[in-house]
Amino acid sequence: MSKNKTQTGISAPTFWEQYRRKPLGMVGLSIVIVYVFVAIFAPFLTPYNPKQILLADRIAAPIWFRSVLPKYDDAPSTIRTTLGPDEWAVSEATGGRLVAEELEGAAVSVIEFEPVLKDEVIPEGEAALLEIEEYPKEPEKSVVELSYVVPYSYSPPKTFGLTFNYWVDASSDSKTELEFVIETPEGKQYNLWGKSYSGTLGSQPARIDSRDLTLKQRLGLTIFDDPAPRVFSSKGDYRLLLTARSIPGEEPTRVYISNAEFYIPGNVHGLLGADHMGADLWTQLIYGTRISLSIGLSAAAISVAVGTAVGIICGYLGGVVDEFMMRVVDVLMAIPTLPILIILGAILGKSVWNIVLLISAFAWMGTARLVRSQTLSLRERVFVESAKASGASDAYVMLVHILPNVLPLVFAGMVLRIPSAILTEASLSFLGLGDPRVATWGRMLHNARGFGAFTTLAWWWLVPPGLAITFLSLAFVFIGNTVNEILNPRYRERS
Amino acid sequence: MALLEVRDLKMYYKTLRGHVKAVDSVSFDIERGKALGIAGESGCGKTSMAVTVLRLLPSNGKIHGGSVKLDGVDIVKLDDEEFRKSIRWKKISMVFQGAMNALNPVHRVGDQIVEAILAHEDVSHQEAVTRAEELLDMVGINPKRYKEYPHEFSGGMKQRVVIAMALACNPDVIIADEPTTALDVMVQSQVLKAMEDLRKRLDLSMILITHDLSVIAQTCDNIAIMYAGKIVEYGNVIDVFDHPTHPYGMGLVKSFPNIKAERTRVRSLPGFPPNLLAPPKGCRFHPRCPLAGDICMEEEPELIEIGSNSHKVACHKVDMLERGVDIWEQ
Amino acid sequence: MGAVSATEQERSVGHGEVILDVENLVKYFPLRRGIGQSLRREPERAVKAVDGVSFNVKKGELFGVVGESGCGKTTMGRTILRLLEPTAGRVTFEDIEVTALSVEQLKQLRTRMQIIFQDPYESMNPRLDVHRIIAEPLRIQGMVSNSKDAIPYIEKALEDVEMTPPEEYLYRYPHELSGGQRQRIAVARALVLNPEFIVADEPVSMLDVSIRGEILNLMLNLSRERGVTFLYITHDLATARHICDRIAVMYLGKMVEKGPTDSLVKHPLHPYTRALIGAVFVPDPKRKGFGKVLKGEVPSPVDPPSGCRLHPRCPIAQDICKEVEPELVSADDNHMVACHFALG
Repeated sequence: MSKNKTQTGISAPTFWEQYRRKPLGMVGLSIVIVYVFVAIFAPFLTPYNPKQILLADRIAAPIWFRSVLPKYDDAPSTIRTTLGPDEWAVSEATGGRLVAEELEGAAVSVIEFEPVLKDEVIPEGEAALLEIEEYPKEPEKSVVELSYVVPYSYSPPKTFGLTFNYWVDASSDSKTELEFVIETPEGKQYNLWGKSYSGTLGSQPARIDSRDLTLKQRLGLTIFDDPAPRVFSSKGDYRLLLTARSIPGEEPTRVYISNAEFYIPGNVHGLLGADHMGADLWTQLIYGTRISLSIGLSAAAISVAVGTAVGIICGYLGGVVDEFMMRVVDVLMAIPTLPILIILGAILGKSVWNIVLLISAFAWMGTARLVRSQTLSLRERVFVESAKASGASDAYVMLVHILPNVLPLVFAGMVLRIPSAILTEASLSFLGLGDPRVATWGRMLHNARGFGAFTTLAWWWLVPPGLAITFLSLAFVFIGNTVNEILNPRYRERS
Repeated sequence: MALLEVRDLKMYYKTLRGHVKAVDSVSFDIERGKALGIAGESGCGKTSMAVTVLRLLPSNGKIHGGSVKLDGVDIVKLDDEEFRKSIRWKKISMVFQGAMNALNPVHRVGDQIVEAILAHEDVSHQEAVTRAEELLDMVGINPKRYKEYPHEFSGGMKQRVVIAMALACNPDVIIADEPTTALDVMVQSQVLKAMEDLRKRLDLSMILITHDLSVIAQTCDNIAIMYAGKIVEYGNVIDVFDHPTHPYGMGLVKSFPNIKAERTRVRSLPGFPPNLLAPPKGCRFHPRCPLAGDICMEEEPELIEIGSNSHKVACHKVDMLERGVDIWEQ
Repeated sequence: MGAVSATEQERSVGHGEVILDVENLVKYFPLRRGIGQSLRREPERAVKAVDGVSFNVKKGELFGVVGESGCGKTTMGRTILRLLEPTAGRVTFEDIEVTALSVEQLKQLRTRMQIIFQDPYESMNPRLDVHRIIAEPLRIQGMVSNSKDAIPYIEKALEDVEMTPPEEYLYRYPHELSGGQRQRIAVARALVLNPEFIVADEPVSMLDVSIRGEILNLMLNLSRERGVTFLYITHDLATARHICDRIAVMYLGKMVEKGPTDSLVKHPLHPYTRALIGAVFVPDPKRKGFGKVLKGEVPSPVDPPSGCRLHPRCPIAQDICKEVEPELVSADDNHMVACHFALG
């Protein structure tokens, strides 16, 4: 009976044999496997990447709300069309034409107007009179109207916009006008934008946005009115009309239009909606798995490795080293972790690695104490003395006899440390101390808090990252407790 | 009639891999005022037998038959409540192995005895204190040390305190499981002497469980040698020590070093006890027995009386052994 | 078992050269003072585990050290091997002064001096198999570079402890072996470096009686056939008596008597030895009766009694015993005793 006191090593197959009998452990393991799968295959689970913004309107709801909530019945989903030379239809062309051109690999629509034949010498005298009659009195305006039909079958959107770049290549005596009009299915035309220039013009961006004040003024609206619901008030085919007018000069006038994009941001988007920047929340959640898992695992691994090393060295060597390190542990344990992390996080800068290192730096003490106490008892064990009697050095004893015997303890501790690392990271990110360049669950919550998820009751923004954190943490706790139960039955209560 | 009659007692532990027959058809008698020593190697079922008699079984242990008659009453048939109320500690008590280390270090020694008395008997606190002081005196500890703590006591004294606690309710039978194993020889001698004196004075019956044959030779009237859950030899100590007849009993007795006898080579029994999950067929000792023949591998030997004086041996080759051949001659 | 008869054991002692010489060995374990005690400048106190012990062991001898728990016998064994650093005194092994060696030199000496521990369950790392347990000393000493090279050594060591065929045991774990087998493995591990001297610290006290003989006889054979010298530390005078050539008795950190086994057991001179022998029970019911034991208990080794340490318990103590500490003096050839009145 007394023979059982020696704890025997447990082989991997036996461990698994015991582990698989524990339902909670298996639940935890399954959950973690799902997360790992999601983390690995993240790019295949979403068409977007987490840095893409303006995929939808700010705080757009999940798309499946349309079939669940009557309020979202025909909420618009995002319409985003790139308008290149192939898309535009030429609905009117007087004295000019649409030419497709390739510039630096991008298709550019070029509206080309014929030059006026001014280089012909105007005859003088009689002949001149004759000739003059043949010419129009006034320089004639050449017109090219490009049109594109947008079918629209939703309730009115909150906003819409068109962006493009344009530049004009023309002689200085020419004049060019550009105009953008939307024609409703009822035939009503809204003139939303217009510019006119003389001669050559460098590249200019055109940003037509329904929220612009100038646009509202142009339509005769007050700043509190919203043009989008007026323009897209009914369902049907809308025509986008981009009209170029030119009083040509001696040279041909060429109006270049590139990167034209028409855009109605949707009120519903994707599996989980969109954030305040119109970025896809599902994508953020999925890519957040990667970050959370890797931060959790690496912080736990680093802290446990440091703790184990310190614990073994202190416990085995004792003396001044031990005394000093244990006081350091006491001090670190007495410091409230989160506030110091906030301060250090702010000083050291926001990067994932800084966060991992910070979390590790304040999480190794528990392991160190546990390992030290275990080492204190192990170093008195006879097999250690037996090794010394054969001439073993301290390093040998620590590596060969102490380390393998504390590993089971440490292993379970490490699994249990993962959720706390994940939670700490989430807390830091939530407080805005996370790496702003990467999507993490904490960051999602941070944005949700900062950009109106609470005020708009956008629970679909808040709940998924919360649940993701909860389930992952819970899963690791299940696994850790099960591992502890198997490897260290005596320590079950304490951990 | 014997005070305690154990007949065919069987107790098995249920484990994942099957039943462990820790006590397998054990029978013995103890007269009032006599001491029976139970000897055997670790794992032979000595302790299991004791806890079976006291019905202090772990949850996986179950009595699978047999009877334990105390004054003619079969106490195996009593229900648990009745057993607890009228038998355990009152009639039969036990000194556990290592019990002296189980004294609570933060309570006074005397208070711990008082607590034991109050737990089992309906007496006033003052009466219990008086009784505790008597008990301390009885086991040879000055009652003035009532108020001391266990750490102020030496090992031998702690062991005496544990014995005093076992005597708290005036039992008829006391079972002592390795009561002196952790003690030095001189202390062992003192403790056993105190126990012997008590036994004579109180007319107690005692079951002494130990692996140390010299302790049994010194303090017991009868001896039962157990091997793999069974009694293989039983009898008066003089008969058994003078003429050990079972091959195992013989090996055990002859391998025990004797400082007073002539200096000889120390003997040993080759091999080790069987796994009780799958004990060998037939005689359980046959794999280690130099005399083992075909019958030993097939049939389990009965415990049969040889000679007079109820010396019993469970061996097929008993005829050969009675002639006194030293089968372990090395 | 090899054939060594009882008569062969009765060898004359005093032959042969001294292999181990211990001179005035002292080992104190200082007690930690509390802050209050430090401030009051109370003198540092210590457990005087071994307090001035001198003896020698001859080549090929089985030398027994007997005493009750707390007498310092185990500490002495450890200190001789410098598993504990001695407080004072000198240990000489052949012509090497063990107490003066550097760590590196000590490591070399470990191949010649080994130890077998009491608890075969504790003395092996449960995570290692037999093969690695026995190979460990070889690897530590750099005698083999990998475990494959170690196999011949291991097989030989296993054969030496009569665990045959060796292949059958190589890859078992300690928990798969019986107590006796484990202790054989422990002996094999000690033997694998081919040492000349082995401290055997209670090697059989955890084993069942029926298998103690195996280990004791193994030691006897190694001593007789291979000339290995043993320092057999035990509380059990009966087993020491069976295998040892000479026995020394320790009480409270001091050696009180030493001599050839038969002389010491049959004619003990010191009152303590007499009481110790008297207290040993005999497996013979016809010799019932409790021998006279000493009154009281062993005092604390922190404040041992003045003079002869036994005097508070000694039946023949007189005033001088409280004052003067008796020296070990020769009673006759090789038999020495530390008592003022043992010889008169």
